[in-house]
Amino acid sequence: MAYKQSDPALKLKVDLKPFEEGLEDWDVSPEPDNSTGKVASFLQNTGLLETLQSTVFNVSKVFNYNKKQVEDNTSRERRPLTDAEFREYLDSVGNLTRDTEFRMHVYQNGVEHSLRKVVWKHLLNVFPREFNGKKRFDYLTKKKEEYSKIRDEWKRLLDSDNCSENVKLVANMVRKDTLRTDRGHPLFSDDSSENVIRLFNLLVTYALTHPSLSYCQGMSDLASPLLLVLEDEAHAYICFCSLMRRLSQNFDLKGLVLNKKFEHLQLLLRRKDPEFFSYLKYQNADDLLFCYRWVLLELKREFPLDNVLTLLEVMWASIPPDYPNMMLGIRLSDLDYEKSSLYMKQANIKKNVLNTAYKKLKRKKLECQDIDGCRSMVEDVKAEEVVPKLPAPDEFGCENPFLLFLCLALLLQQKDVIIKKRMDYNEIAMHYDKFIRSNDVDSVLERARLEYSAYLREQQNGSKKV
Amino acid sequence: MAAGPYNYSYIFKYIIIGDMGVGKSCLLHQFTEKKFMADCPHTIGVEFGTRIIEVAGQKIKLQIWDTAGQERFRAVTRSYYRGAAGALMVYDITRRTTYNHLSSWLTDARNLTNPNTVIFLIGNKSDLDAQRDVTYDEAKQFAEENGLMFLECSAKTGENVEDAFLDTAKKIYKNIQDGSLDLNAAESGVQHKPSNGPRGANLGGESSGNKDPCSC
Ligand SMILES: Nc1nc2c(ncn2[C@@H]2O[C@H](COP(=O)(O)OP(=O)(O)OP(=O)(O)O)[C@@H](O)[C@H]2O)c(=O)[nH]1
Ligand SMILES: [Mg+2]
Repeated sequence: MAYKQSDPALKLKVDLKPFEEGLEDWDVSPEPDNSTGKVASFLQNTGLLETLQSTVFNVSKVFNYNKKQVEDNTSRERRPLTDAEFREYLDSVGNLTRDTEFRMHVYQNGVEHSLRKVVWKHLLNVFPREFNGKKRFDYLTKKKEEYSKIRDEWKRLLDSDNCSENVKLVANMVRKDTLRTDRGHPLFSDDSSENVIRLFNLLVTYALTHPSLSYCQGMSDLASPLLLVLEDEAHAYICFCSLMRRLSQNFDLKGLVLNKKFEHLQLLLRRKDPEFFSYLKYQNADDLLFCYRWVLLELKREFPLDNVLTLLEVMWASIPPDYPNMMLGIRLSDLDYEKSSLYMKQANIKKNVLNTAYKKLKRKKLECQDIDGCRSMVEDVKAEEVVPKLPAPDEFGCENPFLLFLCLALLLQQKDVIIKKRMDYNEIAMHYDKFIRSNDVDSVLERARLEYSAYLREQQNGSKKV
Repeated sequence: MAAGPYNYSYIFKYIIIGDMGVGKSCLLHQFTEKKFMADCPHTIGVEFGTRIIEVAGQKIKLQIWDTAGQERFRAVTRSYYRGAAGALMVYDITRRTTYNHLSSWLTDARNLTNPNTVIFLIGNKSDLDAQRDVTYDEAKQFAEENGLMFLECSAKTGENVEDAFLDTAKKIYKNIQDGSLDLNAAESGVQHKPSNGPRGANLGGESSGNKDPCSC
């Protein structure tokens, strides 16, 4: 899980103190005096601040979301983060000390295109914490060398006679897909265009150095925006490795995590719009499997490529930072046994700490659920719909709760027309698919932010009561 | 089902299945747009196409589900089979492995659709005869042994593509006519849309078919 420990950098000026009691259970920080608890930090970190700063905020209004409100909200101008603004989040030696505020800013406004090259590396947790400008530069140089070495090695192999079948197979699979990725975009349109070759190199390198995952369809979609923005194969690779630390679980063969995400999306829709949910249920479409691509690729294909960049950075900014290991940084390869075993040891320690904290928390939750469970059984008999509570942010959406709200916004956008035309299961799936690569980023983001703020607010109120 | 004025009287659901890269999406695109899209994106989950065709004077709307070929997506793509009246099962004549996997695709198609689902085997990329890796005869024999209809096609040149989609529809229509396909059965993959409104009032075209079909 990404919310590894409460992080002093997450402390905000605004002191919310959402958890007055029961904080010990949440607190997995090695420095207890410095911590507010990971969920607390998280709540402070994301949209809640906006929520509280808005003087006209009214929970019930957000729930009874209507068009006018979105328009009101959109009329508030969102200006992408500029270079000058970004510098304010750095200290005198270029250390990103105000990471939380920086993420807040990006979450609200996105980033100017020319600055993305710099900012995305931070959003994607490429750098170990408290790296100053000089250290970051050296680190990138070193990682770039490391990458080039790995890449050149398999390239040499592929050209030689004694190339293994596996390497050939992977290369063929990747070649097929890189020739079928974002070819409509001018920067990918030419077969021999540099970006197509870079994409191929990046993906084969990743597949060969991560043999347990290898190459999976969908990875090329996740990598292409990185190449587009970073304009450097090695840097894009480093970012990709970092992104995959969070997303590799989407490609797990058993699909457990993906299942969980769908379960959560169903729950969210059921809670936010019971009417629409029952309509889908009536049409046997409540499994929401027609959203499969949305969840797997985190919406990458649902918007025009140039516009999805904003959505991606806003979404990444909504997730608390997850710095790589201080000593080693991002691992570029699973095959590096010496380094990887060291890394694993540390990861295990962290996990154990987390596990105990989670267990404690779960026990507490179970006690509450038992009561809820009984109640709902009784009420089921009365044929009344009891919608379960939404999970807390550090469970909801398996490390990316905001994605669920983006999906919710996309789902609700079509509600009226779907119900009005009384679409059946097939028609619903086909209808949503019509909007591939053409949804409107701004309106979806606005609506998702609103709903997300409302959820965080609800969570905060809920945990106060516990 | 809701009754109302339609510019077609039946809807047939098709699925297209087969290994990744055999040309499923290109076949669909060739059929609906009459164009070869060489760099069409690889499919994640499922994508769709529709076209209205005519069989024996009846207008039929085809709802075509183009599924992803990669093994990893099977768990999801299986959920899209339900209620398919036709299944186009595609392999690539230049890649033997895609042919060898047919039996597993066929098992899925048989298990996840109803017994009357028409299964049509397509050997795609017939334009690449020089690189052929699977002969016409052996595929023909496989098709006969398993009671499948069969054609070699090219999504690139368009050869036989129209026929594969239309022959499948004809067979389904025949099954309806001779009573072997029960329209009322759940998941038959066919919907009958009696066009009881004056057709002239409803200016043809795709979209009008969907327009507020229910007044109840
Ligand atoms: N020469 C030739 N090439 C073809 C033909 N059909 C498809 N292709 C090529 O084969 C590749 C794969 O085609 P797709 O239609 O994307 O394959 P698919 O079966 O949909 O693959 P997935 O979506 O990954 O399951 C593309 O790069 C096409 O250019 C054909 O009839 N002839
Ligand atoms: Mg396809």
